[in-house]
Amino acid sequence: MKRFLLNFGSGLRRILPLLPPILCLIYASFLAFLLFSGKIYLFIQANTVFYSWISMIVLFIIGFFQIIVLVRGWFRRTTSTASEKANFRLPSGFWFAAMPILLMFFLPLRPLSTSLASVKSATINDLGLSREVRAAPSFVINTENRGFLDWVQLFDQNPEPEQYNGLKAKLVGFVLPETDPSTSTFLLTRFVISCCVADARPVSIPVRYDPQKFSFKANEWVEVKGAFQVDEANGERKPILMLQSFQEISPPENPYLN
Amino acid sequence: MNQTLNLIQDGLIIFLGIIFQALPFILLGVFISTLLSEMIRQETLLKFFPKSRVGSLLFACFLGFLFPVCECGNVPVARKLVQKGLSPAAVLTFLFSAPALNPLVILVTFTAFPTHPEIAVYRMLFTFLIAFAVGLIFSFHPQPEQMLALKLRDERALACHVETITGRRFRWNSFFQAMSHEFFEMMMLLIPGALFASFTQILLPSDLIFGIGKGPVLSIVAMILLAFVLSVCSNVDAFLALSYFNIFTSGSIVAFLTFGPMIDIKSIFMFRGIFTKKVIAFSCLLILLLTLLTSLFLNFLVY
Repeated sequence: MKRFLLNFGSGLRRILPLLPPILCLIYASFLAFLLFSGKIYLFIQANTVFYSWISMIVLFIIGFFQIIVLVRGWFRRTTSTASEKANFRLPSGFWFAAMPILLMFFLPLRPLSTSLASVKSATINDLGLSREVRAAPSFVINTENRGFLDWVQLFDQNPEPEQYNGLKAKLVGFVLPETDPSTSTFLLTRFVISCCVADARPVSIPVRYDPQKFSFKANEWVEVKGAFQVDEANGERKPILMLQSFQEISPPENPYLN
Repeated sequence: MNQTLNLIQDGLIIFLGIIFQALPFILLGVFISTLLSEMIRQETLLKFFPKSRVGSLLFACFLGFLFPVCECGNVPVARKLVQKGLSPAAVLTFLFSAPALNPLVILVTFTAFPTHPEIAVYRMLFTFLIAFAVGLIFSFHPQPEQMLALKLRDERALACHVETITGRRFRWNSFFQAMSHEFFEMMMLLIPGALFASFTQILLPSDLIFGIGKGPVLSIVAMILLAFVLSVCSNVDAFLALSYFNIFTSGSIVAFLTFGPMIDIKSIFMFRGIFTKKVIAFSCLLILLLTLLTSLFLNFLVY
């Protein structure tokens, strides 16, 4: 019995050095999953995804070669490796490093929600656009082809709402309800990120609908069609999208704008 | 209730976002630091380093060109430099200058501000000045060893000892082992910082930060606070800064670009692997004051 326990103990000790390389491989596999499924876009900006490919490959290499070295050591059974094995301690950050992986199992993989948007909402549209880089695409003839940011940027550059009167638009975003439900208006919202979700900023376009015909839930992703009108509220004139039709959709693969 | 749950999940998504964003740069830093420890002998490194106080600090300021690491990658490299026997003040200078004064970041900053190249120039200039000043002040510390975190102090003594006995021979076997060991140590420093940073974002909404003001003085305070809270990587923060251009004063944009790479919530946690809390607190304060000073100078005298 004693001997069995001793053997068992040394067996465990032999496995212990395998844990760090295995965690490296798990990290790499997780990155691979995110990259191949496109879920990585839920976390970082599309242009920086390239770096994640590199970290996936590097982590695979680190894990793989360490395992080879360890397994070779077992077969050789040299005295030095035996003493190394006896003294092996897990690296201090091991359990910390395991945390994000465990978290991934419990966390629903979804885009940032309205809750965050409403925390950040007072600054909506106030900032978030690299005005110098983008040229406003006012030359697009079919205004339905204009993207979300194109509109937000146009409103930002030429705030006079009269010039958008009657222009048609087709937009995708999620529903951020107005605090006052009696206005039958919601904010069609997207997050803009330039690096990763840590710098997400909401931008939104107000949409007015006929409460008899349509109803919306917070957080649902929709594709809306409609035409802009001039809205006057509290002495402020701004464009508002009058809803003609809408369609519930699942969140796009890359839910963020940049 | 549902709202709170959603918010917590959003916080965790941000946390994972910071981790995934930092991962490649941590790995780059770990790779460079392992190369440094496995391939370069201590004497070689110290021979290259100027002996004089000012010379060594100047060299440390531009070490970022040799090791292009961002604010996550600089920590493993700095730790290795400490272990190799570099003076703590020079390492402190490296720690603060490398994330902004490296070819990658300079290129990105110029790309982000094509019509305002002076922003990139000011960023480099101020980073250099501040990092140099902080290093200079700390170089007068009577017992430089006391600046280091306890664990690192021992490792430094041990590393010198081992190297003199065994010498160095490069082996791939130990390379990957050392790299993975270093990687996990970095994760231990990164994860609490990232967690703290992501939840600060939720508890301290950016509304409050922008509410501080847009004037020539308050905008600087706001942008410094924003850089501190957001903890984005210095490799890409220029694009983020771009989106606040025209809304905030140019001086505050430069403040964001100089302060952010040096100090944010995430990196403060990581510095604890190298220096004592006292040193970190004092240098944060110094950097804050110097950033305020330089950007106020910009807002009032240049723009």
